[in-house]
Amino acid sequence: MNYSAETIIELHKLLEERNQELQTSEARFRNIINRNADGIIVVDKNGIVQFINPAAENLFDRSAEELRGELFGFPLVTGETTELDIFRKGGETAVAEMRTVVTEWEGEFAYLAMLRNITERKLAEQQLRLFEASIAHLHETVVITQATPLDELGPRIAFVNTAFEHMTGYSREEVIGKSPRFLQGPKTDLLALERIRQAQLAWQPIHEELINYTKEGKEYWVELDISPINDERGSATYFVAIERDITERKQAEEAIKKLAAFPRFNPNPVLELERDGTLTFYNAAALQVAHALGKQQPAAILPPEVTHLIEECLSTGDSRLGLEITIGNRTLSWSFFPIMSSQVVHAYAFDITERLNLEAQFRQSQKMESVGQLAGGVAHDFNNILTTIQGYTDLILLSDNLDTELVEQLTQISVAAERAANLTHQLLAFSRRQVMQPKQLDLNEVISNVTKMLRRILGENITLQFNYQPSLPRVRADEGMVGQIIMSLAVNARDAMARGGQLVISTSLMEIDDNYIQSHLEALPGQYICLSVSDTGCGMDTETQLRIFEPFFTTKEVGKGTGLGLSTVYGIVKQHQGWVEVNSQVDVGSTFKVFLPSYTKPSSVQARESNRAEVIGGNETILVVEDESSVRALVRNILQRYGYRVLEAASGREALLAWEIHKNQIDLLLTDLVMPGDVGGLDLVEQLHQQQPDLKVIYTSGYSAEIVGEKIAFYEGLNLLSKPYTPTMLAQAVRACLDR
Amino acid sequence: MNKYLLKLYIAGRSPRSERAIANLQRICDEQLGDQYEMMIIDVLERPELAENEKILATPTLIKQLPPPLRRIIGDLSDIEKVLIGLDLLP
Repeated sequence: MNYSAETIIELHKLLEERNQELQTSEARFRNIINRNADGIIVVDKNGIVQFINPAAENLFDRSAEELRGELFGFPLVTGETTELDIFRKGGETAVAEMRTVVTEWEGEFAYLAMLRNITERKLAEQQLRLFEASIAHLHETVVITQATPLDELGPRIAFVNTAFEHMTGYSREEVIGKSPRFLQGPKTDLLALERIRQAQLAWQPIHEELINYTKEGKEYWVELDISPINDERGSATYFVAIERDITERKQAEEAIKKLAAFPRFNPNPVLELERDGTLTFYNAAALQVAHALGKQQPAAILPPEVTHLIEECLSTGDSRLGLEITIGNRTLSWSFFPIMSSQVVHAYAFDITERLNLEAQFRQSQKMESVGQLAGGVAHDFNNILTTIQGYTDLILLSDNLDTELVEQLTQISVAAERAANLTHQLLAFSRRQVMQPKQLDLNEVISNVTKMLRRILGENITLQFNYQPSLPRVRADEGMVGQIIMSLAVNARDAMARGGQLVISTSLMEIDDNYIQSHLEALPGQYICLSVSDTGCGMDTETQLRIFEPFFTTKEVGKGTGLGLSTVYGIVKQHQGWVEVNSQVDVGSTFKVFLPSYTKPSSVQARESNRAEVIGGNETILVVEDESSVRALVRNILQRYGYRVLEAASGREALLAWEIHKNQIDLLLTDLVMPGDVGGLDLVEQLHQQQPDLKVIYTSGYSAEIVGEKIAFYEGLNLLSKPYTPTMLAQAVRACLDR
Repeated sequence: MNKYLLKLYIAGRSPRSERAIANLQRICDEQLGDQYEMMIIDVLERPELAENEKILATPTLIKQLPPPLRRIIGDLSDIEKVLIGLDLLP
């Protein structure tokens, strides 16, 4: 076949053009492949890499030269994508999505694998899953609400996590699309809700604490943080609320508040101190006590060695208890407790002044009691001796034809015995063993009766003033004893006002309640008449005040006082079921207050005055019961001298025996009240009265503490003879009793 | 019949790896009875093995025995394609 030159040229030209076109087309394709974002790799029928584009080079971090000719393997042609882990040159891995197609390479069967780098997407997915799992497992509640609508109800719920379901009891399905307002109830703070709404309107995050309610209606506290979530364009699409259940915290806060009230409202000082002594807390009571003691700062009422104490407490962990310090006239007891965890010491104070006072009063009254017992015991024996001395002296004096000088000497003995008897009488009064002969008395009347004598005792430079409370209830008291009280107190007041002054005697009715008793150990509740004697004299210091009621304690010059005046007052008042209070200040004066119980019972038979003018004897038979033989012999002597027949017994038992033998002859029983043995004077009389109710009885007594009872009323000179008595007193009493 | 020696290279215990292992297990159980030995190599734990084998991507399954050696890449979910790749199907 011949072609013309033109044809050949034409064909050549055509071929040139086609070549040109082919080259252009190939360049275009190469360009597309090279610029493709996905990696492209061509593997031949042996699995060997034949071609690799720049994106694949990037993916493998290897150049085409490195990869070409390497064994890759057959990428599986599945029609679907498959995920691969790619090993990059540096040891890193990447994730790729592979899609494989069958192709031809240089005329041969081959695979073309397209690899898309999805590392970042996978990371994002992984992160998202992590977030989802975190939210799902979060202990805190997560509520995501849509950003709109922001109407009165608030945004609607788009998501809640499992914790929300657990906390509220609502399931996710129940709450999606609703406003979280259904969680709120009567105790929810409306102002907090409004603050949340305002924050949401302003796309601002907010932190609040609220009371919410579970599906069952149980309230719980939540602390919530609400934040607006912006999309990539910056506009808010959701609100995320993270809520924590703070019920326990709130309860703990309440408990702490409650506990904090303990020290705050404690009526005693409570302080907290740091190791260096810095005061970190004190309560109102601490300040109050400090002020009352004239201090500005609560720290000033702490013991001076407080820094040392704190150091010691904190290094040993031990508390220090009952540390007493005295500031002014108050005594505080401090206790220190180390709080090791916070390295502070808590200090508690307690004002123990009253307690110490009461203890002192108690010790004092115990002392007085024992001194009284001693004095009473001595006086009792002494009275028996004095009765004998005085009795025999008087008996001798009754004899005829006595030498004048002898009469004078005997009279001296008698006077001395009487003086001694006066002393024992006072001792007995103090020891409350004087026989009391109580009557219903108007105290105001008793005072005015002794006024004349008082004026004489006080002298001219002391003014006397009375403050009577009118219409006072009566007291049941021994008039002589009450007079003795007033006189003793007045004499003391006079001696305290050597340069003159004012004595005020007042009476008042007082209702003693439990409050009063707490600070006055000897006081008892009830209605009392208070006799108060105040002077403007030299006063007494505390030490003297503590001892004034002790017998023979005196501040007066030797010989000026017996030291028995105030102890007698004390004894008498005690015997009347009352008590004495003293208030005194040196150079200002003293006030004695005597409290006697007011008497409301109907009046009893008043004692008749016995006629002491003449002494008449008789011939009746008298049973004399007396354990003291000298006294018994004296009594027999006296009575026989007056013509009486005397039967003697040394004890109650002996008296009972004598009674058995002579009961028909006995006209009068004269018995000592207190005798050793199992049958005392009262027992004896009781037994004999059972047999002969009208038996006449005279009691004699050296003292009588226990006999002041309700059963028998004693009337001196009528059915009672106090030792020491004179022969005349005995004879008069016997006659009076027999004639009654 | 010669025993099959199969080596599966994976990268960590990702879902991709788990899927590949499960697929291979199923293929072996269904097609090879007890005539196979299977090795699973985590290239993150044994990077030197990956290096020796010049593994570029996982999962890669290598049929070591019987010859010819075959190497296929993918998660092995298309069993037929796997069997073809392993020369078990014509």
